[in-house]
Amino acid sequence: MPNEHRSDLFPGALEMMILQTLRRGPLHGYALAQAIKQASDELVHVEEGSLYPALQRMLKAGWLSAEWGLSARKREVRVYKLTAAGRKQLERKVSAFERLLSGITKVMRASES
Amino acid sequence: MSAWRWLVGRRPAEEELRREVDAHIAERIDDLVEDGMSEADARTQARREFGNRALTLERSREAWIAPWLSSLAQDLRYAVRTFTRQPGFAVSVIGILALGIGPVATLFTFFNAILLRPWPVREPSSILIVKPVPTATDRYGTLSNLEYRYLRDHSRAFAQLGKSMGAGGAISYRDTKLDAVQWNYVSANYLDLLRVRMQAGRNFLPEEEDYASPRPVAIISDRLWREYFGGSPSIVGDALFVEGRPFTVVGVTEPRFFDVDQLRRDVWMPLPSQALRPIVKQDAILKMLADPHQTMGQVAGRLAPGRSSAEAVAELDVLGRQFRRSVGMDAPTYRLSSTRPASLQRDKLTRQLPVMLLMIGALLLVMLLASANVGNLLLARGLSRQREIAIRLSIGAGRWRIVRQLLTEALLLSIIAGTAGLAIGAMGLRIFVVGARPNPLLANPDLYMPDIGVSAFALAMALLTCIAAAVLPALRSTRIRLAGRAGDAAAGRAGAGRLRTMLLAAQLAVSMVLLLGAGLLTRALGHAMTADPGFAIHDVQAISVRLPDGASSARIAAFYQNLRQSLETGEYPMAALSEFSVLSGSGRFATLRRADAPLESGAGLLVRDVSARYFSVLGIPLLAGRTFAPFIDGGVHEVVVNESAARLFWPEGSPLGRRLYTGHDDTLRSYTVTGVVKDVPVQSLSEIRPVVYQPMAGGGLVLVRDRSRVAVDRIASLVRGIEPAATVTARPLADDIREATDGAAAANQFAWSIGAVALLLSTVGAFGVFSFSVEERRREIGVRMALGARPPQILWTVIGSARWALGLGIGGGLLLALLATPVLKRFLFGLSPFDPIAYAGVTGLLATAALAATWVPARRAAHIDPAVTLRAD
Repeated sequence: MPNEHRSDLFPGALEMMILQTLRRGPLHGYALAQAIKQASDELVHVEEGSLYPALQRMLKAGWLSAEWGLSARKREVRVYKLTAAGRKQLERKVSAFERLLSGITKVMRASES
Repeated sequence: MSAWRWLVGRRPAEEELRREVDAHIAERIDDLVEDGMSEADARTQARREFGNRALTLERSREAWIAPWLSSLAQDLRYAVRTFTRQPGFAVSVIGILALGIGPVATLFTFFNAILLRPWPVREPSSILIVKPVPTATDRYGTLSNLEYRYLRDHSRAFAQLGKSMGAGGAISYRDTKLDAVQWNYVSANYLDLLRVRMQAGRNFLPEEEDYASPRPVAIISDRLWREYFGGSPSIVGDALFVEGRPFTVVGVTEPRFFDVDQLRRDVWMPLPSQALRPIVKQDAILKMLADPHQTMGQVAGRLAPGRSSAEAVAELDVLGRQFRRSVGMDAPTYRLSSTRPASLQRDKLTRQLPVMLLMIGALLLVMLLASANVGNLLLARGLSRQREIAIRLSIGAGRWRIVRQLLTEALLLSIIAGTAGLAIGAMGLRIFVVGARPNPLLANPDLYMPDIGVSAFALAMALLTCIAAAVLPALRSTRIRLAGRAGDAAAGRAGAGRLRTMLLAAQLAVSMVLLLGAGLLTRALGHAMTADPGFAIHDVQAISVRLPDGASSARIAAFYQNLRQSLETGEYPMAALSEFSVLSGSGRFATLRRADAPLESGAGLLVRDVSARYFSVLGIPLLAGRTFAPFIDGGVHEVVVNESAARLFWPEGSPLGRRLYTGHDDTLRSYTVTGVVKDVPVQSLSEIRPVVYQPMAGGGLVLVRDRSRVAVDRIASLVRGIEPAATVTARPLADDIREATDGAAAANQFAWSIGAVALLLSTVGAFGVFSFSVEERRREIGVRMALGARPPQILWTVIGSARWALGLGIGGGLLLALLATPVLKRFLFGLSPFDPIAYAGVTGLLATAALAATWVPARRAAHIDPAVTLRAD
């Protein structure tokens, strides 16, 4: 199905992936979207319509900071960087996510057997 | 960054986001091109992938600001765009509202200035005015000079207690002569108490308040010094002539200080120097200043740090009792008030309240008028925007959303209009209050500037008017059903048409009432000028004598004694003397009582010094007895009373030969009544008061019952015969009427300016309504003309359609006016509030204006070209 990889993410998933991706270093919006796509073997496609509002929300929450810089093609872009608060948030998110995932996995295994 | 920055710093934040998104798309295009796609395909692909750019921007924005706030900003931007597209509409609404609000702002600033503002000095909140509560013997609630000094010397609650007594007259310095300057006789600490600094010279020294030998020293205002006396620093030490007496200038106050009254004061002199005035005897004044029963002036105190006004009152009561017991008087009760005029002059305020309410009422009517007018404009505009609104409704905008959009437009307009109204208000006040004073020296301009309270008030009024005017039209213009729009629109139009007619009629009715008020006041003024006040005011000239500067008291006294004697002899049968002009309201106030009555029962009366022939010269009928004998120094005084005074003291019988008393112990004086004269007004044309006339002892005006130049020349040569350096000036006594009706003239001016605004607003309103209805009926008129209607027929059809608004407006206005104008009765000098001339004149004026306003659109209708109109549809 062509729309398979565009399926809706669960709430907070996009934020978590953005935070995780930015942990490796600052990125601008387009590069961020590309990085997520590649890291997920193109299984996750970030919709721009969600990405930018999410970035703004995260700026407001103080998890990210933004500065204008240059892209690899020397184009003026806004570069996002993880803040200390963002790092903490990521840790919280990941542990919550792992608990959720292990829970789901158990349920899935139980019903299989 | 905050929501605020998103709204206010709109451009940068929004712009950054847009640039970021565009960079994203550009990067994608480059990627796609690198993958081998053509530039054009890559562009399309990248755009498609990105999706709805505007929506992304919108949702990104919502991360920062609540959706409602964002849509308010949107509404505002939309409103600004709409206004810039149709600037005529916006300008009309703003203009009309500003015209409605401006006068209200003027009046409010004025009331604020004369009622609510504290004294314009440093730290006014720690200043309190000290007054004893008025009693039967002390009706004005003032302190005697001795009592003041006792309190000043013993009070601990007050750091300072100061006293002032205002007066005014002519001053001169070198070649500059000023005729009407206000000054203040003050205690030596007065200016220091007000924290006034000196920019040149020094403040008064304590020893300059010397009651044993008055010192002729003066302090002048910055403005007097700079604008009238040339601003030379050498003025300190120079001689300033006050009423012809030389005073040494010792200081110049800091700029922008004009004392604390509404009259600006420009000269300050020590209290005892009143004794140096040429019109009084020095020892009499000094005696008065040392008499505990003679109360006068105003006492103000500055509280010592940390003291409360309750402590001050308690202390004053103790000190006052001590003092009054020492002079054999009853214990006083003191009242302290703040320096805000409203708390200071409560009685005066109550008296003026009806006038204020009347003015406020008139201005609220104008606001109403402006509101109706704007409502009509918004309604018409709502109709012409029906198409736009229908489209927005059909693509899913909620009705509330559109109503809110229309209200936002109104809000924006009202803020601009409120600001404009405030500007008009500030200007208006300068014109009416400051400009209305014939002498710029008298007005205190700083008093009349709108402050924060007034500004908030004006904006609130604008908001209220605008929203009130906008709600109904907004609701109406969104009441469109989507299906069958044409038919419903026609029905909506008929309804809107009725609403427009009613709004227009209401405007005309309100204008009618306001114009009638103005018309009646004008008629009343004309009536007053020619009316008979009960004496021969139109046949008398008043001649005033000016003696040379520096003339000694003795020389002045001798001159007037000589003049009195000459005028009392047979040579000048039609001339009399009077200390004050007849309708000036001035005179001395004395507490008089009957011989058999106790001390406390005295009544405060106006006492006037006139010569024996005063009554015959002015044609005031002598009802009983005879006029008094000329003044004899130290002898028994004879007096003449008017009917009101006779009734007051002797309601049961004839006053002739009876006695009146004033003072007690060594100040006791008695007067014998020799005659009763008819009541004549002494201030305004209608105000009759009890008056006691006593023989002239000093000087004043010469009144001659002869309008000719020759009569003046005769008096002039008589005056110069006695004092060669004296000069005389003559004026008709009837000028007094103009002065007595000064308030009425100002009221008339006020009423007409309000009336003119009303007329303008309703004319503009009528014009707007009919222009719009012609526009609306263009097609119908085109059809009629195609079917053979002649232009004159069309003209009359349009004018005829005005008949309802005109009939209802003028008829309703007349009815309202009949109910309302009796309120004006006390300002009409006896003219009937139903004066037919005023009614007819105003009805004619309004009908003409309204017809003229329909005529122009009607003519435009009559020139419609049916071919063009029909093709256009």
